[in-house]
Amino acid sequence: MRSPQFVPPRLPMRFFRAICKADFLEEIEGDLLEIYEQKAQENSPSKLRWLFIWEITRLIRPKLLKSVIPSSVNPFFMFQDHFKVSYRNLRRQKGYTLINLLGLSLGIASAILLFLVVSYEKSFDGFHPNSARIYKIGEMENGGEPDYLTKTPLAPKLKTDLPEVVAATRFAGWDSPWLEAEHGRIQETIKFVDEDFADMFGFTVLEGDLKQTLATKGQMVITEKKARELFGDDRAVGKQVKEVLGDKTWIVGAVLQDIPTHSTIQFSILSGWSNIPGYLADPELANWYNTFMTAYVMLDEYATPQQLADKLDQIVADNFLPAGNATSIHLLPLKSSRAVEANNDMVINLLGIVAIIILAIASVNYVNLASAQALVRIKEVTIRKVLGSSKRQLVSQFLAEAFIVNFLATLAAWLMLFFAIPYMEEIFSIAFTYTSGGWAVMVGATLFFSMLLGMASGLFPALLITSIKATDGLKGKSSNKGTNPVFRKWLLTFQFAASILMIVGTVVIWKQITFMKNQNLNFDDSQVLVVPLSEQDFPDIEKAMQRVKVMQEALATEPGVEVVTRAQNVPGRYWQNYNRFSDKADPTIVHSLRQSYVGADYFPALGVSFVEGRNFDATRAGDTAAVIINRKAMQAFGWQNIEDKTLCEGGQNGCTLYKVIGVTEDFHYQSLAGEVQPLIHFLDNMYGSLIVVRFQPGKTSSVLARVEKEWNGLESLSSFDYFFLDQEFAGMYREQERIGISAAFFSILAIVIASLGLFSVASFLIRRKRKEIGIRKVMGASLSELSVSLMKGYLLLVLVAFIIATPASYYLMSEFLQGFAYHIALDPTIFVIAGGLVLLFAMISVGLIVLRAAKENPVLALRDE
Amino acid sequence: MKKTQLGEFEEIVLLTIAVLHNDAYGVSIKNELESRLGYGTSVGALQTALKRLEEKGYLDSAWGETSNVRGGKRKKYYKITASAQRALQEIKDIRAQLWSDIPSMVLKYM
Repeated sequence: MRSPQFVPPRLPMRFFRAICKADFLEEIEGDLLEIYEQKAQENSPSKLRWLFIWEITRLIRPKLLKSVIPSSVNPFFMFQDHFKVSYRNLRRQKGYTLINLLGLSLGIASAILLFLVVSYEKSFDGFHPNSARIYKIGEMENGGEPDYLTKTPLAPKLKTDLPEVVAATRFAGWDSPWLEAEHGRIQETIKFVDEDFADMFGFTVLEGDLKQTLATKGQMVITEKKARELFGDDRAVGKQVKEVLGDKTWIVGAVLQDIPTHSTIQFSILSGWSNIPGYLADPELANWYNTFMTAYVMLDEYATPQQLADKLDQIVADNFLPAGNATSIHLLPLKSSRAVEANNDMVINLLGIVAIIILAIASVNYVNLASAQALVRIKEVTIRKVLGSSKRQLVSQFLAEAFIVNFLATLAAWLMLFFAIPYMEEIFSIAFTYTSGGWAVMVGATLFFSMLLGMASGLFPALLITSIKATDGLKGKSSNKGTNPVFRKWLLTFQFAASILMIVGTVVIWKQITFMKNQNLNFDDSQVLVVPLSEQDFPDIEKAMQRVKVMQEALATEPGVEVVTRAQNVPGRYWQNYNRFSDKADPTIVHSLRQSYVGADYFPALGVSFVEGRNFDATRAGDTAAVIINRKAMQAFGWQNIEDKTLCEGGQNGCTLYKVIGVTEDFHYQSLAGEVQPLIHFLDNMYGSLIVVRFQPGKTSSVLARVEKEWNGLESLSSFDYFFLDQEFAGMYREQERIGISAAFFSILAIVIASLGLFSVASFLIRRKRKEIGIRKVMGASLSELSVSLMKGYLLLVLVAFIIATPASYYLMSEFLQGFAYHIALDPTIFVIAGGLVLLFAMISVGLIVLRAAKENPVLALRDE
Repeated sequence: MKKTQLGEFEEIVLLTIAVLHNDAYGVSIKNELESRLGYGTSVGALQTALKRLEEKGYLDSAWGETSNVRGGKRKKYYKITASAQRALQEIKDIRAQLWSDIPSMVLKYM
């Protein structure tokens, strides 16, 4: 029985029919159909389809393919001839060849480079077999931007309550103890996860049992690198690791391969929650309102987050403490978490667009050059025609030329990349993970694509020139197509428009970066030195904190030091730690506030001004139960002033009261890409893990030396480390600066390639006007009149390009700026600058040729015959 | 071996066609090969070998009847020619000679 389902996929079949030699078609097609039916019995439809495509792919063998060359021509000599003619032609036109090769190879190199960057970014987290089914849990308030943090009990709750959730794990760890084994000592953060971690993620286990280790108390999983640091070349599994402080010991249960750089989940040591049992029971942390936990779930094969939306809302309603804002759970596909984390989704897409634009500009250039240049070869083509060349042979001659140029350009591009890639890896902070074999495949693939590109871009000039009638060609007359190239004008216009677009992009990005850097931050980030402290560094924490206090007092006496204080966070490094606060006067008003602990002098040290109330006072006993909020927080609670205002922290088991004593200006504690959120600060000298020192200008080195000297008295296990607040804060714009640098680089490239193209097109076309210029000169045209008449056509193209590019770039750039909470306005001067710059480049490149042509002695031009 | 230029795969294909006698066409050859060799070959590889053998004059082919299976496409049946028989015999003889000339000592410890 033949049922209709045995009809193989149509497209591959058509492809096969198109390429297979006619003599073999019936036999092989019959075989294919028969095999397809056989396989249809045992395979699923989708697999069957791939098997079929695979079978067809393997049919692509020279023996079985249709011949592209008419059988009457010896293909070998034919190609040999093509290559010989191409070679001679390319050599004769050295300048043209060079410009063409340069433009193309620059274009191809940048396209490959950008492609590499984009594919690197897109490759994140794809190596887990279950990658498509894993989601990161986030929470959204009032339907705003989700934060990918959640509450501690949520992940296990989702697993028990929703059948669609097959596995769930939390992933968190803050403490970085010093660890010691036979071979060495390291300080490393231990990340805690649930057992399901082993089932969800595909990290390569080198030795031991991952799941078993996570389930066993007292065991840890370490990466290969850490194993080497701790145990040298010895086997690590089963061995003991000792914490340097305290007497806790661990057993290594499994060793993982080092975590690939293209993973958003990074760790060196993993362990099960059973090792910190107190944590999950701590009502201060493991509750339904404190939001700071990273967690992942894995859905079954058929479930989608959209289907789960209602159930997730129900879980929020049943468990979360009611808050003033409507909270909802958001599941972020694991594959997207890189883009969210690096906040570069749009940037990566932009780079992709830029890659295509540059490649297009370069190819358009080729088309333009080749067709302008083709006009010189009308006689050659005509003679060939007269001697009996078929159109097909002529076209293939031009294609062969395109093919050679593209091939050489791609080789040159890889040569450039060979030197450029190390710099690129540094600028984009990327480590490409390809092996040398992978690179070889890539080179092969790009060569292949460049040939296709060559075919595509060679086709237009080839068809253009071969379509000229032999009789016209012999008379030395070129048809209108050649002299009035509307198509070519559009291509040039496109190049200019693309250049304008890229320049606008570059200017906007840099203006935005400068704007963010110069924006009033509402605090003074200069002259502030910060020294991080870690509790893990001190054998006796009580004693160490006493010493830190002494150190602070000592530093305060150093000349040049203005304020010494402590803080848990400083701007640029605010932890994502949110807690729930309600208004004591009206407990139904609840807000989630970002919280931090600070020393009494924190706000003066940063130069933050108060809009209401007063600063903390260390001498007032009551201030440990007081808080300072920012203006945003005051607005959130809807207060006009803070008289008799009290906030209540927490909720589940009653809450703790804090008196609001002050309101600060909204200082920018994070990059201006994000909006200032409601903040709350507590007074606590013991919590502060950073020492903050404000000092006078010009005292940097003496203050730094003193701080280091005092630090050495602390007897920390870590070495002295510090940073300056302004540098740290500026560092947040590194990602944007990176984009800015690449945008600048690639737009310069685009404009250079486009100008090269314009230069050679104009030089060909103006050479054809030699006689016209000569006659005009004889009739008395002045140099300036001539120049204007020759140039205005090109300048008109720039104008058209400007008209096209302006709305497009306006749209794209306002989209881009939406990604920044505080951004510049798009003012018209930006577009004028970009248009002007392109006009300038166009004028220079055409002007050079025009001047040369216009200055020529008319006798030389007119003598001719 | 100067006259008979047969690759190993080509030799096996020829032998398979001989085994299948009157029923040797693309799919049947492929299936037979797969069951005997224990691994799959692609249609492309087989057809290339068939075409090459036909060019060398080792194979004759004839179209089968039209039927409504195989999408109405005819089968092409292959038969080995006399020169193929000679070539196969020659290879077999050379191999047999080589085998018989191996000193028995070697075979014992192989």
